[in-house]
Amino acid sequence: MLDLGPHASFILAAYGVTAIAVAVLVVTTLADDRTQRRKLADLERRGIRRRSATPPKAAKTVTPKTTPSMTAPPGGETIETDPAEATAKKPASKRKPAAKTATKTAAKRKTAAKAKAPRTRKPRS
Amino acid sequence: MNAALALLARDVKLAWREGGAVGVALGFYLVVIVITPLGLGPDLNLLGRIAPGILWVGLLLAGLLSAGRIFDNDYEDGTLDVLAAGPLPLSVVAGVKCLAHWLATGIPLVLIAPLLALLLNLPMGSVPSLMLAMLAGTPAVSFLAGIGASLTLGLRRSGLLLALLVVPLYVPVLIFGVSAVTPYVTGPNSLWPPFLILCALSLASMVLAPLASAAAIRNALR
Amino acid sequence: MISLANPTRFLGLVDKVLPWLSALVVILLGTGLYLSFFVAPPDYQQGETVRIMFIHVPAAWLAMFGYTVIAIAALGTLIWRHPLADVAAKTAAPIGATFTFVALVTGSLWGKPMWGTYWVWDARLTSMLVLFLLYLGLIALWQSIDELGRAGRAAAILALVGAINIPIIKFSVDWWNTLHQPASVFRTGGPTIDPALLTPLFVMAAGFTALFVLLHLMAMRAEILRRRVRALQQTQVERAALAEA
Repeated sequence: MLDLGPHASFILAAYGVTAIAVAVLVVTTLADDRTQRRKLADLERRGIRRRSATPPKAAKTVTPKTTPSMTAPPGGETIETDPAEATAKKPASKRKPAAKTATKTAAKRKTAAKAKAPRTRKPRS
Repeated sequence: MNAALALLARDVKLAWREGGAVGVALGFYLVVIVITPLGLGPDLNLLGRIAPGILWVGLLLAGLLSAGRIFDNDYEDGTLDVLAAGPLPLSVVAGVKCLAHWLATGIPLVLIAPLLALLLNLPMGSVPSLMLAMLAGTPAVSFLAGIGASLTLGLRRSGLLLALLVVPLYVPVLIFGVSAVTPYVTGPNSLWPPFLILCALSLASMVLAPLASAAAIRNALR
Repeated sequence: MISLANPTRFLGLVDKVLPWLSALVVILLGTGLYLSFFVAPPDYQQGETVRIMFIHVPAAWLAMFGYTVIAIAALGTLIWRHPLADVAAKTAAPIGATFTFVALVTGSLWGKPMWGTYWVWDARLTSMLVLFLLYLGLIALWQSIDELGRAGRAAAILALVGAINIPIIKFSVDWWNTLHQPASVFRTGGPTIDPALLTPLFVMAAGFTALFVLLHLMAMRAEILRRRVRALQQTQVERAALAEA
């Protein structure tokens, strides 16, 4: 072990704090990534896909169960558009953030949706 | 021009008439100044030395406290939508409203500062420079607060958030405002350099802050 | 830049870059740590504590780098309406704030043996503290506005206001510091650093920068996925509403 002189504890503490901070950043980011991937996979499994995807077939799988994926993301934020769709966003009604987005996509799937009536909780706690 | 003046007169009148907005700010300023010696002890020498700083910090806090009113009421009752659609550019509207805040709240705060300075044993000789520095610095206080107020329009807990957003921006005003006064308290420095910098800060924020506020208001109205 | 505007293509690129970047970070930081602990000589004045510099200075550099990234991304949000700009700004803020915090803590741990106290209102530390407050304000603003589009634009405006103010704040804090403190205790200006200390410092700075980019790309990827999840949940809700109607 190398000799760090009389102030070794300060040096080690500084490096330790840095290591912990970086580790926390890495772990939270990776965990966040994994959570989002799981949610995405979960949604796709239940037949909810992005615009490019095919319409869902197995309507039965859409059960009203509130899986962990349905809880709101931390911070109590509401949902919004995909950044890719943001450019195509239509002028929305004023100050009604929850009611504005994705009407186009929803309308496109109107027929498919009529058939199955999934009862879903609004993901806004 | 007439429209801007009319808006200014309306805002100043509203601030004075409804709900004692100005009175609350003045009362808050008084409370801050009264509570500080209670925390520090009645040592008049110490109080005299730190009086400029306390007076300035109290002024900034009182200005922040009343800043939410710059746009909030008009946002809630839809006046801001009308103004945004009206003939005046939105940045002028924002600037006029900040100016109204300065006239209705900033100036009264500056005017009671000498009375509060008595409580803190500020040397009489430095009262004029205190007033001058505050007159020069308070426009920046109002206009910077306007940025925070426009960014937090219609949000929950907007008052606290506004303080968090704006206080870092107040650092230069506070520093130069206090150093314009301290020469008379601590040493033979000149009043003018900090005073002129304060003027520059106020003028720059009067030009730039309305642009930011207008962008933020448009964003909130969208 | 235009091809990167497509988040899907951006995600593909990130997936390709990440392994290489991770390797680069490990190599640079490994070399840097080795150099700073085993090769760099102790400073003749500060002794071994100079080793804190090898993390303190890069962290402080990243604190400013992070804010620069946010300010540029803010321009992207407001002027070009780049779809990834808001994602970039939002994810850079917590990383920048963390490195600002690291710079403050390591500075204070460096200050205790050098100055005899954990905190002095030194001009640089004070500016760093104000920068930390600016970061906190940005993060708080993002979290307070529910609607992503509005939050992104509001934060962009605030970021630009802050970017204009940072030089003024720095100037005023320097003024304040010279007014109140005799400069003798503190090293004013850049001290002459021995070249033997400079090499590890540069390697560490490069490693930290690569680490920042790595973390930022990872966070951006997660944020893009989060927005997709939201969009999908939104369609799900709307579909349910349509079905009930």
